[in-house]
Amino acid sequence: MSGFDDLGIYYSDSFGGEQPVGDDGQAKKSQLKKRFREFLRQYRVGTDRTGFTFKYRDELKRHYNLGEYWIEVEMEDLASFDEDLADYLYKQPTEHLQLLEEAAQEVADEVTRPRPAGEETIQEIQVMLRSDANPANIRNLKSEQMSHLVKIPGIIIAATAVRAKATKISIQCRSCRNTIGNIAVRPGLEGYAMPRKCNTEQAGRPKCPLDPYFIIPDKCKCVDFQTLKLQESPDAVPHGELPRHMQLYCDRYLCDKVVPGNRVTIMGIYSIQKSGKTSTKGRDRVGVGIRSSYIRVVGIQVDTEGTGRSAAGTITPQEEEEFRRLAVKPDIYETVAKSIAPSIYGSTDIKKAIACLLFGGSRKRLPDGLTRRGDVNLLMLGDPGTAKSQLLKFVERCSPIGVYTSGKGSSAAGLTASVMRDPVSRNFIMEGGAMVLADGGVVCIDEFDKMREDDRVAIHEAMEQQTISIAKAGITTTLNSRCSVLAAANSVYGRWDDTKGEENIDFMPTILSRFDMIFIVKDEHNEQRDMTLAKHVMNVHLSARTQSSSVEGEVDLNTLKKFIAYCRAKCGPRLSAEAAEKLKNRYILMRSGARDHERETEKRSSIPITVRQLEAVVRISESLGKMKLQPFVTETDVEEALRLFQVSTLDAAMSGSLSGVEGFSTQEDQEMLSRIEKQLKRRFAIGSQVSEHSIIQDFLKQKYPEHAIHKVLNLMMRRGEIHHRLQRKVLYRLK
Amino acid sequence: MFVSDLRKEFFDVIVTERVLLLVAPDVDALCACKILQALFQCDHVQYTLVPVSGWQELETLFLEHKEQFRYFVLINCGANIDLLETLQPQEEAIFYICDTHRPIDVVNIYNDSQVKLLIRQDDDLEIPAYDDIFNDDEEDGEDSGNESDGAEPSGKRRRFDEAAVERRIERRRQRREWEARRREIIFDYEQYEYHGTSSAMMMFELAWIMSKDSNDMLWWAIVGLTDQWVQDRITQMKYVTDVGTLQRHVSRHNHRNEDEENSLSIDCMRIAFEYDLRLSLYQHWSLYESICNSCYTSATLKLWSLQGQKKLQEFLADMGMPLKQVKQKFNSMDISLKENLREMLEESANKFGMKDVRVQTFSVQFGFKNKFLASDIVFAVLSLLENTERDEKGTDNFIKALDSLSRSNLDKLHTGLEMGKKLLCAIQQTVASCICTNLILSQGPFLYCYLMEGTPDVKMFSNPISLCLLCKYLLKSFVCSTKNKRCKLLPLVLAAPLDAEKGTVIMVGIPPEAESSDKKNFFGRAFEKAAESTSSRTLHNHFDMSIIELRTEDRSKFLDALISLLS
Repeated sequence: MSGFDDLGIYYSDSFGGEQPVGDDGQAKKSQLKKRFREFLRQYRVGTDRTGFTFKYRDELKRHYNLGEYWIEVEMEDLASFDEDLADYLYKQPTEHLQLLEEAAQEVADEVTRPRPAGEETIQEIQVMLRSDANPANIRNLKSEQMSHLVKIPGIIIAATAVRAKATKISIQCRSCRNTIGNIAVRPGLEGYAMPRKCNTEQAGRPKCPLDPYFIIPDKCKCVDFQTLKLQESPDAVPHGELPRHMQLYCDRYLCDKVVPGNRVTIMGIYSIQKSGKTSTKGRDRVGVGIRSSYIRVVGIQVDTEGTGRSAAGTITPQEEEEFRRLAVKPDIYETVAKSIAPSIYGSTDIKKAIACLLFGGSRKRLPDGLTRRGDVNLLMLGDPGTAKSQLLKFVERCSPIGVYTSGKGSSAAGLTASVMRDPVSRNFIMEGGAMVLADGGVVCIDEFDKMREDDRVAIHEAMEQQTISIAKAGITTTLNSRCSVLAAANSVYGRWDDTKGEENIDFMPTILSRFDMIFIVKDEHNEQRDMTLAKHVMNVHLSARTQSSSVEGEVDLNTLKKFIAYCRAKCGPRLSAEAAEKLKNRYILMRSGARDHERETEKRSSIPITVRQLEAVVRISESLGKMKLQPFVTETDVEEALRLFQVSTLDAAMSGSLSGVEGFSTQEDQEMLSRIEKQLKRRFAIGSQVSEHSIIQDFLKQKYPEHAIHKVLNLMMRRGEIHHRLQRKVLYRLK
Repeated sequence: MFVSDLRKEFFDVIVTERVLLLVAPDVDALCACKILQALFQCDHVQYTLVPVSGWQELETLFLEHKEQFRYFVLINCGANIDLLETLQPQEEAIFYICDTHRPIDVVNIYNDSQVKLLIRQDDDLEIPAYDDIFNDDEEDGEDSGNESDGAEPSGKRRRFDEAAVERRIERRRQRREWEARRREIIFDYEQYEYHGTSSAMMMFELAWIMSKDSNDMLWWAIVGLTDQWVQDRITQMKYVTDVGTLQRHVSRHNHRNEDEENSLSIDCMRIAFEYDLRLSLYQHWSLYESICNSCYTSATLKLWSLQGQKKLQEFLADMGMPLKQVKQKFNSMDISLKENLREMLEESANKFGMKDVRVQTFSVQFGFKNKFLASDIVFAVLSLLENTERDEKGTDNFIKALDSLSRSNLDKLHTGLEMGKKLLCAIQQTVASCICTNLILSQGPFLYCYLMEGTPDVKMFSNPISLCLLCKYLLKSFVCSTKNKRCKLLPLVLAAPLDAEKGTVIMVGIPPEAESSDKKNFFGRAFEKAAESTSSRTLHNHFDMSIIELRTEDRSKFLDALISLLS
């Protein structure tokens, strides 16, 4: 903080020392300032072979010419230049940071001279700090570190709006019109206490009353400031404890550098403020010395690793080159698919679909102002233990912006938006839910089936129109939620019941049609597959530590994340004419196929094939093109998109009655079962009870195989049509 | 033949020729190579640099290149085997060998025309005398005897004949005796394997003679020497002597009066003699991690046990270091603690039985930020050299390691430092698990340990230098942990899987760890003998004879033979 808000330190020497102490302190200060200036001017990196670069001098000049009046100083550089300086900055940052800022201003003055006309006055420079040290933890901040420089990691969970804070104020006495100008306000969250009395004694006038001063806003100098709330990162929280929070104060260029959801590492000065609200009663003066702590931020690093909203940051030219190289590889699609959750075995098609979801199609704005969504939504339906949630967790980590929720734990308002009363202003304000926070990314919803039906309906709008409209408590507004949805659900019976077909799916067609791809994940029993699967799982468990970070043919997580962010930002492919033609023909075929299927089974499928599905295929093929950073989608992409669509949604749609056959081998078996069931129902009235043994004997006499009878009984029991009673001897029919 | 005048007999000869540089993959050789390259650059000598990892590669590479070159410079390879017989070179090929491996093969020593040894003769080489091992005039003697026989008058032939027979028998007896003595001498000479003066130092000497030595070269020579010390190849005595030699050069190059006007710019390279801590990489790590992962401290404090951990806490408390600061990165540590760190650490270390926690070494500084100890560079370069993370070829690693030695490639050096930390951590963990699970078995004449396939980091130890380092650390730690007095004096044989698919293991033997150890290693010959007697499928590929590759199936019979051979 440059001298913008400090009046300087004054000493009063009550013992009357020989030499004026104030001068000594001042001399030392100017000495230090000189050293800081030397550091900024002379610090250089490089060797005599590679040439030198004057790191800070050049950066200062560059920033100043761009109109950005800040510079970032690395503590290690300072320490290697002069250890004492770094030590001062660590231990008494408040005074010395100011000196450093003044020094930076002087150096900036030197390096940018001559400045163009009209810009002669040098601007104040903000110095930010960064350090390479191992970070401390919020938990470990103790009082001994008060007013020291600390480095702390965490997640930003809330941010206030940017407000103005006066650094220099002018006040005026309301009775005698006497103004006092240029009063510096201390930096940070400390306020300024107005003088209670007017000191100007003028003869012949009545004394000014108590509290006569008011602030003249016109003559104040202000800076931006913002307060943030930092939460301990989840991995630093001890077992069985809740994460702790810390208030952060940041100003000038540090404002709006981070948004809630960012993982950050901050450098700051551990400071105290007057604790929150002083009770107006004035009686209980118990907490006089008690202050609450906050951190005055002097540097923020946003971590790009980890979950949540981790902005990919700037992409260097080297990285860009690498991504371009990656994208033109012929097997980029396979590579990306392979790199998704490598610890999960198989499910290649699902991984490919997830790759499409991560990259997404192109969003289109129509001439009439409406938009068509470009995000791909994906639903995974299936048996427990098929690594659905694991995939969801991976996508949360891998997506540039990822939000993970569980269906049972999230309400309609939590997913979309809620209206609440602001504790400070007492006004109604809106708070965005998961789908608003995930704008521009992916929202992963686990246990989708466990959600209440009306909560699920709440996200209909968000999924197709990608907006959330609110009309509550006098607030009528529309929020953006341009996010992909990746949902996982179990089937109705917990496990997929092959005999049941599409009764397994307990979703309204309205929501199903909004998913571009629906995968039915079945836990099939197949000795060969089980063997390899078991081997893979064992391998994962055994070699959890020894495994090297990346295997051949895979991209590691961080690169993948950056690659996705890059592709999403840089590429928005369109269908080429041939591809469009091909798609058109295929859609007509697809639709007639579905109609035939519906006619055959004499009922309507719960997964309809509509225009939405055509758009889905378009989006999938666009995302395939995006992966390759192509401007146009080729026919092969459409081919692959259609294949993906075939193995996902169409198979799910067809799985209706056809799949009923799969569990058994033949049509005859199926017929026999239904015969048994019919006969059983005929002879076994609702509300009656019959001994199980007698039923079985009865059917055995009719030459039905015993296993078939048991199967029918089991099925009916599972559907809740019959119950065991009296120590499982007697069956009771409920419905 | 030894080259006595490096300049006239070596450099002046090759200065106009094209030279093939064959360099073994170890840090000392790299440093020597760097110095030589710099010299070549000065005089525009054309050269081709080829890394060689083993004997087999040396042979194939030689075949590839032998038409194009006449002059071959071998660095840290080739001295301890009969080079002419191995390579079968053409007549005019001339080899210059700069090698630390001892003993030097006698043929190499006494070949005057083709093999020139760039090796200091005043190392105690104990070379057998020429007459003791070669007998050029045996045929001559025989002939002249016959001639003299023929010249004698025939009348006394019978008697003469008898005398001649006697003489011949006598001569044959003498010859047998001589041969027996020769075998004995050769055996004595070749029995122990050890290392001599560092090649980098030899090359620096060359540069010095030619008055072309610079601070950079001096630093490489220092790194070369420190490599020998880190890998425990030379005795403490020799290290101290060589450090003394280099210190003279250091003070010659870096003597500046540190006053205002003629102080050197901070960007210049400055080498300083230091009496620094025996902790690896501590300036680039945190003190805590460095103490935990340095062989010396972790072995003495027995850090693999719970008690050792407690002792470490005590040690830190005794030093008066807050835990938080110790675990902080060294660069960001509180300056007031850093100031007297060395003295404080030494004082406390003395109480905890670490008498020589400080060693003589050198440090280098250039620019504001770049300050390194010689041992830092050694760890960085050797872990770059044996990088196992990617499936890259050895040549790439070699080039990378070579590059990291020059000052303009700091980023490579820093990746090397990170990898060095990883290597040290891996070594420490493996040592801890070997000792805690009692993997080290006493086989009678030696200790034996086998790293199982599937142990974490086992892949790292399929490389010779890492394996040797692990072996040395393991033995030191074992000696500190065991109560058995006899076991303390035993050498150690360590085997690690090399290639699971081919079913091979790599095996290394090191001499016992003792105060007065002369670092002489007899496992080279013993391995050879054991392999011969059991006809195991072994491969003596490494320039160090005490490192062999072996088929996994043959391991047990090989060990049995080794036990019976040594007991």
